[in-house]
Amino acid sequence: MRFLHPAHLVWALLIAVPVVLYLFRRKPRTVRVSTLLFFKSLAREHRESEWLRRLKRLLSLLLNILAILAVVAALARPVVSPRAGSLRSVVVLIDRSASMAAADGRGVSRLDAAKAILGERLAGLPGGVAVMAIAYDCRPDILQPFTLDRREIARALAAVEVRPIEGDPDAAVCLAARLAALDPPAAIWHATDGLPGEGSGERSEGRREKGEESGARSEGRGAQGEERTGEGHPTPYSPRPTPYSRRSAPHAPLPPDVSLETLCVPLERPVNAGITAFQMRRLPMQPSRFEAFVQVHAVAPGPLEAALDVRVDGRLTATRKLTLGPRPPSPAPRSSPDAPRPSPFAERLLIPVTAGEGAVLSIVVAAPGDALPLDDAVHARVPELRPVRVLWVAKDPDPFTELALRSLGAEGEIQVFQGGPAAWPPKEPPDVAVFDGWLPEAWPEGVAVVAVNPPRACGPLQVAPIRGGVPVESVRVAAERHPLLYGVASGRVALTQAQAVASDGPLQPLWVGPSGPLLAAGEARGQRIVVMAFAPKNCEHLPLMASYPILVGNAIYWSVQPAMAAHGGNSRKTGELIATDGSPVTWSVPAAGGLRQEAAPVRGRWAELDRVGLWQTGGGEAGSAALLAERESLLPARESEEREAEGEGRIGKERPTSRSPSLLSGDLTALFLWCLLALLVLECWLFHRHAVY
Amino acid sequence: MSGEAELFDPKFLSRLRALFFKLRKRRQLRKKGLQATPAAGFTREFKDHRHYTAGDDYRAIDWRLFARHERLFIRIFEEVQEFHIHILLDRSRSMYEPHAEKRSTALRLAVALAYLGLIGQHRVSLLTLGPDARREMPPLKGQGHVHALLQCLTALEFDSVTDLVASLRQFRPGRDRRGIVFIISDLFGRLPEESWDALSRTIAWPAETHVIHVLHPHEMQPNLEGETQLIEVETAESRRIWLTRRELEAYARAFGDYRDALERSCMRRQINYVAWATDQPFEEMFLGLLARGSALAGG
Repeated sequence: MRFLHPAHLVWALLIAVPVVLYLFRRKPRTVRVSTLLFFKSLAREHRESEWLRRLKRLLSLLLNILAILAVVAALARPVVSPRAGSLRSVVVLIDRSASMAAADGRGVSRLDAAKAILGERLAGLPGGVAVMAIAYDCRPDILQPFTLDRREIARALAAVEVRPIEGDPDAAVCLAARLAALDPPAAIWHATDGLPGEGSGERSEGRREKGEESGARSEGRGAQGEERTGEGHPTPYSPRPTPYSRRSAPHAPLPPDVSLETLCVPLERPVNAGITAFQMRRLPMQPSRFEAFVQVHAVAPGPLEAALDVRVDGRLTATRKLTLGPRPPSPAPRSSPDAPRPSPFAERLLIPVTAGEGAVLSIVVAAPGDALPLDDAVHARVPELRPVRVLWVAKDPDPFTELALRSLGAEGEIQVFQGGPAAWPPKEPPDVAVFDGWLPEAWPEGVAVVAVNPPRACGPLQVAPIRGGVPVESVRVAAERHPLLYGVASGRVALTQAQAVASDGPLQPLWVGPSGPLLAAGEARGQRIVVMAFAPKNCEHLPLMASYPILVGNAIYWSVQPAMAAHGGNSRKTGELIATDGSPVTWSVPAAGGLRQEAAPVRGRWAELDRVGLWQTGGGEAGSAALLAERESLLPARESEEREAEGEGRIGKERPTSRSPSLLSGDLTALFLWCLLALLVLECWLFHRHAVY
Repeated sequence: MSGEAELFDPKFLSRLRALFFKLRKRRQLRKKGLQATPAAGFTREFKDHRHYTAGDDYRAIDWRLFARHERLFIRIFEEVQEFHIHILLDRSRSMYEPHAEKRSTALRLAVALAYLGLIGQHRVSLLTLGPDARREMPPLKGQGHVHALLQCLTALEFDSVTDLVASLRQFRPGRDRRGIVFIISDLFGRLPEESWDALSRTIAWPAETHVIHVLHPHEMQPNLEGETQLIEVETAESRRIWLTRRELEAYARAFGDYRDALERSCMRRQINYVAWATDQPFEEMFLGLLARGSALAGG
């Protein structure tokens, strides 16, 4: 504790006044009276021994001294701040991610609560401490460099608004730590609704696991017969990798002389249901139809009833009720420090979309008591049904590959062009290039590649031919949930491996044989690549199975997905950056009467998707943006006192953060004034109301 | 003599004399005619004549007037009754300390009553109340004893502890003459019930009893405040108390209840009770005392 105005402490000398008055107090007046007859009846309740009267006089003196000290302390403006006495700088880090918009029963958002706490802290900060303000969502933003002017900091904090973007506290803390280290000793005041000590990666993983473990049940089926993915079943969609991965490792240790204090402002009993994943794609076997994958997460003290509405161009086409309930209680003892917290509830849905091209699909989830509206809706434009252009280049065409491609092309969704090595490079670049037993000299850029039986290494494709081949009776599936393997009976596959794919490259092994990966897929420099290290015609079993055409189709659709997504179904998460030509981005954001058009100016050539809705760049690229973040939708709950105590004991050593009791932190002037009032009331009650003399 | 002059100066005596004539005039106006009494010691003074009517006592016929006027007149006599006035004066220390006004008031009252008795040709006895009843001087009669009475009262010491019960038990007014008893005291005892117990002794007295409760205003409403060490003057008992307005109000309430109870007790025993505050006008209070049925004023 330190005093902002220590000069006022000199007034503490005033305690000499009551002491002197006590020492030289007036003796009781002696009065001779005719009779004590009537005084005795009055004094009956006051008859006390002398020592008790002295004790009470001392008590009165003590109360007077305490009252004076309380007044002096209030004048001197005492403040309590961790290490405030040695601090030279403070970095104020405020979370402005979507979850900070969650409001409590009084309508106070978490951001407002964080501002209030920070304001209180800043008021109690000594004047010579420099303060910097940083707000962050998926990336930190320095609002105000180091300054001694508290008003500038206050203005900067007051201007902070919630953005519908997932937060990345690790990057912000890392930046804050670096900046704080410039002027040590320093402190970082991190105001967020998250729990202290949980890095984004830890928290995301933990929630993801709990979300997958939690039970999900739904009532009936939707009007359009949408499917529901079962628990543990692989989904055909993979989350879009973002440049701001939440799987990052916890932030590095703080520099010396820099402390981190997390000021948590979570809701006490949050209730929220939000859409945490959304993707729209063509059905693999029915390319003329679309389906939307929706994942709904909820957090609530108990089972939560939610309604999910599907609208096309504002017209309600389907609705269904969701009951997001918890799993049976875990057998782990409650007192165990590893006892699970209330699990978030998740529901995954596949919704067939029957809408024309360009129609706006809106999926809205609503739940009673929902605290966060930013994650309740996703909007997407139904993609254009343009056939996928596939260029099949083969020196010696494989009949089974040809059969698979022809069957895919028969649906009309895939347009297959066949050619020999002389046809490469083509005049019009295809969407997907299928190299069958052949590779060009120069690795093609900007086009998805499916390499079947590549004869050599080329570009990012690192393969080594195996002379004579290696028969593989059964393959080991390395990534069961990869979309490439959707519908493929991997357990029944037997083939002859012709190449060994390098497992340390950018490609992810999907099938692994004795000689290494024989099916791999991945992305390098924005280009999706699929490698099949076998020749179908040399395999005994695979070409005869239905799995091979499915595998080829999955490979084509998966590899072309980014390119196809750019044509209408470009669903992205908020916070991502999109390339523009410098012209404003046109937004269609949900409003009361439908979608409202807005124009967002662009500085430079990159625009940030900072709102929920549909966007379109001046260059013609269009898409949609939604929050789609479990981290934001699964609102953290304020831990009870007992659990907080357990948590302190359990992870207190692991995390550098601490939470001071609000009563004894910040400016203590009000506390001392209350103490003064209490002392005065106590003295009045003791010595006047009861006249204890 | 200086103390005598201070308490009973000529001015006060002249006021008493005027008071006596005022009372006699009031008595004459109020009571006309004969007052027959069989008691001994009565004097008969001529008052007036009136025509004789049938039935009148023929012994009262004034034959000399008949000789001059040849008409029958009878003589009317005024009967004067002789009382024995007992003045019981409390000489406890509480009558002198801390409020000396109580002593002077009590003495002046005793003088006034004795003076009225002496000039009214009544017999006057002066007794003081302390641990017991003490006769200060033999019964007096006639105006010539006023000076002796003053000397006796002036020399009276107020330094004893009052035992009202014992004193009043010891006092026995004689039955030879009609008695009028004046008890001049503050009636403070150890307990409030002690006063009522003492006054209950007066029922057996063949006399008209008046209780004059001499009080100082500060005894009825103390002007104390704060922490105070109280010392009782008679017993030197002390008590420390913190007096606030609430306590003072409670004191006044208790004292008022005590006075009310005392007055009711006196009324039940046909005793005239007068609360005499020392700050009230003496003559007015004295006239009020005599007007409240005193035989001294009406006799």
